[in-house]
Amino acid sequence: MSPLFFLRENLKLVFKHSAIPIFLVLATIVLVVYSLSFPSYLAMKQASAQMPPWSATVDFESKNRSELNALREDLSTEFAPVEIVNSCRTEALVSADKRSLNEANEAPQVLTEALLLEDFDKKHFPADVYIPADYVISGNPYDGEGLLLEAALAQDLGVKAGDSIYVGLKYPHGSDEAQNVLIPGMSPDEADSYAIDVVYREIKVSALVKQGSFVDGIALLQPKESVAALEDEICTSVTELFLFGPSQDKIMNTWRRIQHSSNMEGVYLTPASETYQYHQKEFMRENGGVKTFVGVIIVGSAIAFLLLVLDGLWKQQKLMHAFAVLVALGAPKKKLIVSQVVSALFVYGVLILIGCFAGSCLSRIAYPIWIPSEIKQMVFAAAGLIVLGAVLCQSIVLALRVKRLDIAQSFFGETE
Amino acid sequence: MGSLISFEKVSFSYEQGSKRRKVIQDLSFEIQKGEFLAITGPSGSGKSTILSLLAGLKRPQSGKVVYEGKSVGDFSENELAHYLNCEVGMIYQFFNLIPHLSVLENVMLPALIGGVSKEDARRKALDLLADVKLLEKTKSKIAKLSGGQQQRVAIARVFINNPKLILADEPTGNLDKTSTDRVMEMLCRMRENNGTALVVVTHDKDISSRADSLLSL
Ligand SMILES: Nc1ncnc2c1ncn2[C@@H]1O[C@H](COP(=O)(O)OP(=O)(O)O)[C@@H](O)[C@H]1O
Ligand SMILES: [Mg+2]
Repeated sequence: MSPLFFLRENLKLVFKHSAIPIFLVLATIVLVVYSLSFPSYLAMKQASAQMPPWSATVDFESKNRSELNALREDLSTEFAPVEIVNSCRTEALVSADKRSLNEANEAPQVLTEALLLEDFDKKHFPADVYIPADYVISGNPYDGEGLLLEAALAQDLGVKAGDSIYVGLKYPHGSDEAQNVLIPGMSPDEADSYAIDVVYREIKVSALVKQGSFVDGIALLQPKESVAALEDEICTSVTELFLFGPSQDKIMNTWRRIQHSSNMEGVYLTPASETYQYHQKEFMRENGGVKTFVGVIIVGSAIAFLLLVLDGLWKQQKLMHAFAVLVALGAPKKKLIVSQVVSALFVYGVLILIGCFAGSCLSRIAYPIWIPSEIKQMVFAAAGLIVLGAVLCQSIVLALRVKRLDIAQSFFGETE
Repeated sequence: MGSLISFEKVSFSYEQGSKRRKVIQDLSFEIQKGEFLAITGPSGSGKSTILSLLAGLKRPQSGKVVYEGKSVGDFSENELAHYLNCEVGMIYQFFNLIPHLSVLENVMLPALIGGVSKEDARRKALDLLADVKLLEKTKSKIAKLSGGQQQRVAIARVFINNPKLILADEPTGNLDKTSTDRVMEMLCRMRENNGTALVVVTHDKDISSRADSLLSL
């Protein structure tokens, strides 16, 4: 009976004197948000500063897909052996118009952005039909607009309702779902830094839709579970090429020649070394916050730890009379100590758990960045250790108190 | 009637810094099963100390306290817990109930500690509360009761595990005359029904005159 007794009494005390518990939960939330977000943010900055210096990115001002392909071919022949690879990062929005879908007697589904395949990908992802990005009339999935493909082109491609096509889905960088698209001739390590976080899925063309002034089109529906994983990434239409070469010199030479060649208007090339330096600087600047971070976490954890210990000791004090009565009624001391320790562990465990849960939810809102699972594990393990440590301290004090407990003295007072 | 518990040349002194204060010296007496012993004496004469020794809460420096043939001072921690739970019951001047538990829960406590099932403990506790005329207060919190009522709860609690010996230290020291009579009447009646031995420390002549024997210090 005593375990339940102590649990109940400890909980009662939490509700009766809730200032410290509430403060503890709030402090935990702040600490968890901070300790989850800052290292993740730093890790992200560091990752972006780790671009290999022997590559470069070509950005284009308003080139469409066919112009881009032509340019790539030109560059490839002109600047061999530097390999030029379309990064396949032309993004398009895929969403479905609910009304149109209803007309087509299909259950409406939320759709979101997708990547469409390039020649490069076709080698790796064989399919019956590939849809070029040019054919996509993009819409805003948040407004429920439909992704429409020009019907004539769709017809040229031979796509009709019920066909399966491949669509590359973009996932947040570093997320579990993300997979690297291998670039020919790259080692897996190198490819890591070029993570193009795309997963290809077979998606069914479920309906032909008609909407207002739009031409006939094809709506692409995605499986629900993949949509959920996509989160709120905003689609941008970046058109860029990556240059890969045997050495930095070669790349830089190529880059200079591209820059100086007259027929390359509207082409901007950023050597990775520049990007690298930029990111490096940014990383160093952010890295300066590490001291503050460590300080805040240490001081914050110490305060939380002390509060846990003090609150626990104060609760013990309140329960000492009941403790003495129970011992006088023949309850074994060891059992009482264990009951109180388990109750304290439960009460503080729940409080800190609430803090951790709320903190990790809030961190997702406050810092919408990918938090590596090692950081999560570390933060939660630290929280657990703090609770365990505090309860251990309480237990030691409790054991000493019980050892010193003189029932005769406390109950058989000096009487008149 | 056989001997239940006895003092055999018991001496006890308190250490106060470097000084030793002898409170009891070579005291011997015997309590029979079902006997009612009253202990009287001036303040500071060692009455409470004797109760602590009987309860095994203190160990004599010399001599022995023997309960049913066994030396109380030699009990292991578990034996002592069992002794306190099942063999002796204590009643105090300041009741020592757990204030935020209900009357019924307080009475059930020793039985639950002793491993009796909740249902049985409850049934027994309700019977005892009927005996001390507190059935209508079973759900009340202790803090809401008068001193006399609290002492009656303590009496109900002391009987729940059918102890063979009850130790009461000034049980009415904190009560007015009416409550004192009522409490003592109930305690004496219940102990007679159960055949329990009783040791009462008291200044009250009325109470000591009811006892089978008297120990004056
Ligand atoms: N823990 C203690 N340390 C030192 N002296 C004590 C302690 N407890 C009691 N005494 C002393 O022992 C004597 C007997 O105490 P006690 O048994 O409580 O007497 P009574 O109950 O008869 O008033 C008193 O003089 C008291 O001052
Ligand atoms: Mg006394």
